Amino acid sequence: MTIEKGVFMCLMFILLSNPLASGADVLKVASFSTLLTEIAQKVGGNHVNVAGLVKPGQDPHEYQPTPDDLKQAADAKLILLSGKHIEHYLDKIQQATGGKGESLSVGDALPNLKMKADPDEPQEKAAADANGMIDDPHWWNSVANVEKATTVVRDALIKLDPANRADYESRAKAYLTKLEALDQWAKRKVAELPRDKRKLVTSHDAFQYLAKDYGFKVYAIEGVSTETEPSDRHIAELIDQIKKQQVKAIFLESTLNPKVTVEITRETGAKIGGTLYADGLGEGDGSTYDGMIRHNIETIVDALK
Amino acid sequence: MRGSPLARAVMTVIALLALIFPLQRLTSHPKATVAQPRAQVSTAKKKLHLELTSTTVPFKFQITHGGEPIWSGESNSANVSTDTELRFPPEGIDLVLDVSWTQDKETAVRLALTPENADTMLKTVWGTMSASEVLTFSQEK
Ligand SMILES: [Zn+2]
Repeated sequence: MTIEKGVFMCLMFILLSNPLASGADVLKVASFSTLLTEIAQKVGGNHVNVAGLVKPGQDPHEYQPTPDDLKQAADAKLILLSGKHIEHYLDKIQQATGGKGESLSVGDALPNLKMKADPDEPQEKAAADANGMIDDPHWWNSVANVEKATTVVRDALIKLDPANRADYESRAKAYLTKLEALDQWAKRKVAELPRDKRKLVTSHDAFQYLAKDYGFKVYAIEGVSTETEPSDRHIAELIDQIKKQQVKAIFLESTLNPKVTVEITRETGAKIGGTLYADGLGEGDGSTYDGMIRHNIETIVDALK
Repeated sequence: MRGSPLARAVMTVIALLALIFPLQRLTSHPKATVAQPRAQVSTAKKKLHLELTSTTVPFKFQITHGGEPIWSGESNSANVSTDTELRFPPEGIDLVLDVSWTQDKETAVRLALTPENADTMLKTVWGTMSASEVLTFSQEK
């Protein structure tokens, strides 16, 4: 074998063994949501290269893009946003990308629940309607919403890369089948808990969508955002409710400081039911959406039974 | 108040003791508060009549409540019924229905639930070969 022939064979081997290395036809996606990162990877497979900019375990309410994050967003053909006003840095993305890539606020295509905005929180105040209500951004805590989000992402990928339509469709179908099974499992698990015991006290108001799907009533210690501290009056009212409703357990969240929650358990005698993934994927069980939902539902049902 | 210093001291101690008890009750937060019978969660059971109707026979079925099977069997007739007692809070109850058929055709199965002295509530499920669903029955609204 000549040297030229050897070099050519080596190059061919590298190119064929790593489909991403060929680069040109791989769709670059930047995701500002841990959930959308998973969806884009599941649906896109080898046809996409997804940069997950909000990392698992990171608090999306507090996240700020780094210069490197903005550069990755600028390089992407598709920018996936969680929507419902959680990204208060949209202007920075716009500035960095110059509107080059296609921005998709997936949450804005999903059903909406309204929450009371915190008047002390400027971003919430700005987003509030005339009645002081804002969109609840925690759509991912409903499996039905994640199913809808999967079809939204699938359609966006097909639009940008129609040549691989069949692949995107079949991969989305497989992921949707798993989500449907997850929803059925969750319904059966929640059915173990009497409907009058479905009272969910959590660190911040992140579970309205889950509550609506599975018949819970939510009592949140904080408002929608994790950035505000609850008032003494709010805590006193909550303690009163927990006692009155005989709530057996209250829950911590993986991205929040548990101090106030622990204080409330001391006052009410309710136990700590466990730690929930409220704001998206995390470490351990919550590193996949399936694992996150199973962990949350099992933790809630087993503690309140 | 007049009188000997000793009598005044005794009176003062008695007055203080009388104050301490209500104060102690006001300021302490015993853990037992939660267990006090405020009865937000009612434990009373209600008599319920359950009736299953399948458009295809034979069929096997199981009904689960609170994670426990409460009624199961196999039927060659389209109708089966039973009576049971369950806690029925205002929020309603969830019954998990699992049913299977030997015939490979689309079938409807209806579960009728009648609480004592109340109207019948109906839920219908469709399936081919088998069906499995959580059914919520509520007397609210
Ligand atoms: Zn949140």
